[in-house]
Amino acid sequence: MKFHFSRHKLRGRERILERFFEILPGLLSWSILIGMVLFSFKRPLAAAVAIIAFDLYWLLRLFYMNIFLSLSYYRLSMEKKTDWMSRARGIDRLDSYYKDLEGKEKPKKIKSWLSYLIHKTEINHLRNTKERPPLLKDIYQLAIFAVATESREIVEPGVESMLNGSFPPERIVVVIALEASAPDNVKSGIKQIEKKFSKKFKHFMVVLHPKGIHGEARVKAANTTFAARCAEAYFRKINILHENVICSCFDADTVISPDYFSCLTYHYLATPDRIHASFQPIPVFHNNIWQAPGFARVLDVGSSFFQLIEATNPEKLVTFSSHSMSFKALVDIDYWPVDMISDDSAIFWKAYIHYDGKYRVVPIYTTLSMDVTQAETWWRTVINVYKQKRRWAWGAENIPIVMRAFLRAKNIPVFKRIKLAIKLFDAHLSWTTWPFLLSIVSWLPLIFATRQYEQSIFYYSAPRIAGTIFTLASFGLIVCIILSLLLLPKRRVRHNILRRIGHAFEWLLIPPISIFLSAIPALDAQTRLMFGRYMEFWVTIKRRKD
Amino acid sequence: MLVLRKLIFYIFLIIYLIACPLIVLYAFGFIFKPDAQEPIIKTGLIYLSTVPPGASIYLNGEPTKLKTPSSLQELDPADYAIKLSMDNYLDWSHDIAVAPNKASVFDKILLIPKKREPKILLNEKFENLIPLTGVDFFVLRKSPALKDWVIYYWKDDKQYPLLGEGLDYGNMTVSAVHTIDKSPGMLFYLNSGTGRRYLYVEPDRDKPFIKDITELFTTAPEKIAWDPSQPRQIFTFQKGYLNMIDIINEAVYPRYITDVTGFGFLDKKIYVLGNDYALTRTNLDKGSAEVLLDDKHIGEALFAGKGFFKILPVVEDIILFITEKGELITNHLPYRFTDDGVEGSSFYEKNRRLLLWEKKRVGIVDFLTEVIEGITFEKGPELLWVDVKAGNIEQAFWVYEDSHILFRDKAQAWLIEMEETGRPHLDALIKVRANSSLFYAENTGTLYYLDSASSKLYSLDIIGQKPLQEKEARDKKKEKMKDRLEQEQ
Repeated sequence: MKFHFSRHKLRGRERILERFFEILPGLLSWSILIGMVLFSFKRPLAAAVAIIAFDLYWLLRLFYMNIFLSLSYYRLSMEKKTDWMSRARGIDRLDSYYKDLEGKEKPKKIKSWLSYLIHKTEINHLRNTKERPPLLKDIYQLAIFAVATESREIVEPGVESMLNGSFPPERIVVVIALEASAPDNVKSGIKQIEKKFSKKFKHFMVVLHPKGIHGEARVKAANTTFAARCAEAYFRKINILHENVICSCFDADTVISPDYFSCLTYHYLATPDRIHASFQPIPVFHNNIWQAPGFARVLDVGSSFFQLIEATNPEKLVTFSSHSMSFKALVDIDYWPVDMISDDSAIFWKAYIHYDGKYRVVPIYTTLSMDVTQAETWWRTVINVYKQKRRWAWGAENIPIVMRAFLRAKNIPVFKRIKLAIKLFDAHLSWTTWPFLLSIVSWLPLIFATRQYEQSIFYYSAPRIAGTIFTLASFGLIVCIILSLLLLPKRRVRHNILRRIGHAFEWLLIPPISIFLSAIPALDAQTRLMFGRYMEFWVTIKRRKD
Repeated sequence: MLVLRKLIFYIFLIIYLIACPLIVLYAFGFIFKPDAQEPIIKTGLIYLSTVPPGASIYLNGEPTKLKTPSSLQELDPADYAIKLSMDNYLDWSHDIAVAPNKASVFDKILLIPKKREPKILLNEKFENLIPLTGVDFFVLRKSPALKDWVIYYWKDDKQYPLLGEGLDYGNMTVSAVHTIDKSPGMLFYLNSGTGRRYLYVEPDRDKPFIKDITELFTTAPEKIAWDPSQPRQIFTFQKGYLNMIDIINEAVYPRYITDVTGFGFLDKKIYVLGNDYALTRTNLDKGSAEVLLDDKHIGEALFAGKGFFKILPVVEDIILFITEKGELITNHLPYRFTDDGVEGSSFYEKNRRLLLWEKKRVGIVDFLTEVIEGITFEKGPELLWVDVKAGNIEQAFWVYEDSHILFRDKAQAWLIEMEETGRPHLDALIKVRANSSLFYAENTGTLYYLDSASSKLYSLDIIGQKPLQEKEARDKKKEKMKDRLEQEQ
């Protein structure tokens, strides 16, 4: 479907619809919060019943998410020792490889056995599509790093990490998308990186993104789009088909795991209709995890958990942060939107709409690591984290564009559009409202209760029931604590055991953190969108302490 | 994984759809007992809290594992014998009828210590104690001579002579003293050799304010009153009009307001019931007049032929009118609460409850607004009398918010615990000197009195320090939460 994926240059009905859907998320969030407060005041008994029902829903959803978090983590740990390149090579001779798999001795360990089973199923599925993927030797990786103000010490580990994997570096094209307005020390740092690494890859480009290009906003996507266009010209020049290029868009601080490109390559080859798919790894924030304050650590581990859970539901998975996709698809849809902040999710929606719903995200069970936000002082870190979460929540800017597209997308089944729209709204509304409902609003009926209410059994049993629900929820918290400890990097650090114990206790900060550094920034973002106060892009400060 | 996800989703959905209504029903007291005649039973609940907390709870003679504050849940509707027991305190027992889907609430049960330890405060004999509400002192009288009157500051347990040295009035005898609730000022009627004198006194540790205002009284007034927040403007009533006496400027404004049948004060405003039974409210300088009642029919029906009304606006929307016979009328339905006999009243503002007393009984009116569905004709608050079998109740106080009432019946002080159901608990506290008054300080939970045997000043702790501190902390927390919510709204 031809669709102008932008909120600019709209006229008439489209402009009205755009504003309507910009207002809607914030309006719904505020209505829920204020409505529940007023409801608690006017009808405390009925409000208390609603809150009990909500608490139970939240508890079951927590357990539900815990199950899939555990399964997803298990899958991640299952694939740690997988030789992806070997599997990718096998795809080159698909039928015989499948026969070899069938005849192979089944692994004895359960993890290996499960991995083998999934792999065999994928290969069989690929065989049955009669589609033949490109040969491994024809596959190239395009890695774009967006750099604005990040120093060499931030960017270099990411570039270097691409040399540590089993995917041959001579088949990797590296593009540093550098803002022309970057400070001189940043530019010189990138020059030094280029000097050090350029000969180790297929090709190494530093693309300077000029300021003031018409139609662009001050957003990262404008930078990466400019760089991608340069990369496209390069691939055309050396006659490499776009279908054989997998594009990965990384933040400046992204450090990929050694098996990232091999895992990505395998999944690219094994996925039928690979052009119409994005590939989402599990983001972790391990680069400086022990240097950051506890609250920032807990929040970012929570983000990793969220992605792990989402990975178990590919039908509704949307791309987040650093991820990969077919370069052909990227070119087809005209790259990332150059006037949107949330390019990571916007690119998925843009592709989804462009291909009339025939686009999906394939989770890949490998990790890439980024920095936890931190600053020189604790208070400055709080501000930075707040701004970062607000920027993430600015993903709500996709809602009006997606909804306008859905209203026109007759080729996408109605049921699918409704399901995705509900998920989109649900994600943003629960982000802003749940922490308040659980921590604050749930106590209001007791405070506003009139004498009449105090004579009812409900007044006394409701707190007991709520207490039981929250006690049961603590089991969910224990699961999160255990998995977060397992997910932490195995690098040796001073006082390793003490740090880990301290990290376990940091999870008790979840109630205030979820309000002040998650719900409030999200509400801030939705309210700005509601009032048309569009956000400037704010570069997350990245720094590493020694 | 997709199939597994869908399967687990539907399992959880079914769990929620079944569990949610069951939990809500359980919260309302419905429980499922498959063995019973009726499988679904509407249960009730008993909530118990004590001051101090931690009392063991016995249900029908059997110990439960619970301690106060606690609730006994899943009780079949029936009568239950409850006993609370705690070391060093007398057992508390009560028969409680549990109704289906209702909570029988026994909040702030004050446990009576086995041994109450009165504390002697002053080792001198006194004839009487004159209580003043809303201020931090009361007055003690050793003899009718004014020089033998003492101010006792109960917060820091210190006494000071009422008059400083060198004043002429010390040898005059006091024939009466007029005080107003929440006002530190007192008007003494003194007998001097030359006739009656009026002395206005505002006690102070360092520099009391004393003013002889005899010259400002042209005739003996029938009634005297003032606004507690403007005590140096006294209003006297005689023959249907009000004079205003400005103590500071030593000025009299005769016939300041005329055609008066009753008057009272609240927040620097004067409420006047006119001879035409219209009720007006103005500033003390007669500015910004508001007519609160100008319906002649209602006015006549309520006020005609009853004589003078003492008007007590306890809060802005609740006004009491009390005749000299003790008839009580208010501005809330059913308007007339009693025909006669009311000796005194005390209003608990937080829960809008009015305590009244007659000679033989105490009564409570609950003004808290409630919308009762299904009632076509609004009844308004009810006056509930508690027959305490008293002879001559002269004072009564709210204790521990409005959970208890302390009253003096002649020379005996009693404590009643107000229960929602069943008979009230009545405990004899102490015997006091005949014809002397009590003073109760709610802030500290302490009763001050003159001992019946020695006539010395004693104090008795009714409520412990810890429950008071916890109550203060709870009140502060509730206030902060309400302020925050009002700001968010």
